[in-house]
Amino acid sequence: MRLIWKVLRQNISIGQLCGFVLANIIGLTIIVLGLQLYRDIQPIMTDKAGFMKPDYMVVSKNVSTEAALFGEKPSLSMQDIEDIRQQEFVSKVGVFTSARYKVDVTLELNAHLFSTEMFFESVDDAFIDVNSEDWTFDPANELVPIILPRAYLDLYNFGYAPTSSFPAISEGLVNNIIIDLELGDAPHSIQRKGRVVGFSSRLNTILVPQSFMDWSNNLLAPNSQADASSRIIVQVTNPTDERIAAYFEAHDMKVEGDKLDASKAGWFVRLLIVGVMLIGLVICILACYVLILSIFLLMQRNHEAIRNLRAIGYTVRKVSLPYQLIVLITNAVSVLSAMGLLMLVRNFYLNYLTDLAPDYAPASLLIAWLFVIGIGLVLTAINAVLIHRSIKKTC
Amino acid sequence: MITNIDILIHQPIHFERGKNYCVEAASGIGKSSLLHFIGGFRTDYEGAITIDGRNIRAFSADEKSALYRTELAYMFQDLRLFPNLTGYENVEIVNQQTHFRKKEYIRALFEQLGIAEKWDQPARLLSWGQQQRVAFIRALCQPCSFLLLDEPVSHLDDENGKIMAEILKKDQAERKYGIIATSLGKTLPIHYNQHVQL
Repeated sequence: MRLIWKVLRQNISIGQLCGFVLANIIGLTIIVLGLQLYRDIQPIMTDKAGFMKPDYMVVSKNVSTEAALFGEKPSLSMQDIEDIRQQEFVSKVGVFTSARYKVDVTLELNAHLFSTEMFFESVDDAFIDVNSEDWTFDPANELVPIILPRAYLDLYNFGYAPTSSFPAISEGLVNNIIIDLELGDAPHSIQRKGRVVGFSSRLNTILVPQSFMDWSNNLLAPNSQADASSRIIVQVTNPTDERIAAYFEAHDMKVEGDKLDASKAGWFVRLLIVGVMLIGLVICILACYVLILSIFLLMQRNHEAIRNLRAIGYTVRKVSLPYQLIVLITNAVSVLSAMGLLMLVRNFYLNYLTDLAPDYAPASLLIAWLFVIGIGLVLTAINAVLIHRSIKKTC
Repeated sequence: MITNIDILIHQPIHFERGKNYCVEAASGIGKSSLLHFIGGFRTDYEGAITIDGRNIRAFSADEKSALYRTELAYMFQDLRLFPNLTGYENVEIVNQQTHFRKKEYIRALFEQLGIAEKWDQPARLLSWGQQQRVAFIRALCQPCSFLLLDEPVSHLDDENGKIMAEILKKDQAERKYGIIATSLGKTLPIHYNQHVQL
């Protein structure tokens, strides 16, 4: 081996090999860093770090101008709802039930009487973000618990009250106010007392218990057909799942508020990482192309020596071995350097991730190690085969 | 072990192990080409060359390597030495494949052929005649059934040609290989069983 190496090492360009190693290190580091970054932020994106929780989204059909002009109701069919229920990113679906009767409300506040017409909706208790012992309904009891959107209280306290010289009111105070309810049309209307038992940040509607809704609809509008649902509430397992935004957009549905932002951001982050990894892969492929060109150039310069070694009985395998070792060593140096650089950069960004989510546990490095070693082996194998073929042709 | 080489190109030629052949022709007629065809180094001919009945074209790369290592020992016209290896290393690079010869034997050949002082010198610093003698020693340092010598004494004086012939006769007597030597007028002074005219 010593003599073969002495023959074949002539014309090796250290500069070319260093250029390849440098380019390959950059390419491999970008690929493996992209992969590891993706794996490291996955716990945050999928709530394993307790940072991004399963979220609720209120979904409705988009209201088009044509539909509005022709009085069409933007409702979700049973098929729409069932289809949403079947999606992998959905864990629970709740359908809103609307009151099919008229609701008149009167309340006295600071010696002023307020009276308005309004509406009730109900939804399964599992979707309500208010825990109250009073959230029950008994037909024998005339008190009806009500949950208001927190935005209403804020609107009153920071919008209406200051401009109308009314005092601001607290949640506790509102809870003590009894509201007079007149349900249905006279002369068949019934009177009940309503009491606000909490404020919801999640649901932007006036809620009553499902049991009350069923009872009152049955009593006051027994013959009217239940309207198709105009809105539903969906619990998603991972709000950063890019399929959420894509699905609702494709099905002409809209989600209340900015709940789709996480999904869009998740999609963007993944796209960015895949893009970065692709750039790394291109650099790697180009680096390997440079390596194989360098080796082929070296073999071309040593053509006579290779031919003479073959002529005195050296096998293709033995003549190829020194060149294959060059490839193996340069790739090994590249892989090890990429692993080292990954560790350095990772330590830097892990500090930020830990600050972002204190319970955060970083992903294992094993996959990244195996991946970069795998790439190194594949590139080495491709080069080794090309070298073997080229030597075989030399005779 | 190879015992016969048959060539059917323009005229049938039969080479037999243990016998000596002198291939003669004018310059450019194809003596060197013939030796290259026999070993399968070149395939740009019509016809067939068979070694013990098997067409050389059918040999795989590994089979050819084994052939050059243990059956056909070549001394090429262009010598094919490695310029950056010393005289000894040029021989050893062949010998280390089979460990056929001891180092003392190789040194003795260097001395007999008058190139002992070239033992440690890179081949690129040797004259053509000195390189020719190194290439000859190299060909003797591998096991073979046929020794193919392409104009082996073209750059040697008569004295060195005779020494080479003596070494060859002694070695052939022990190993019983066949010799196919080409000649462009100046012939290696050994007994030939047949002169082949191209």
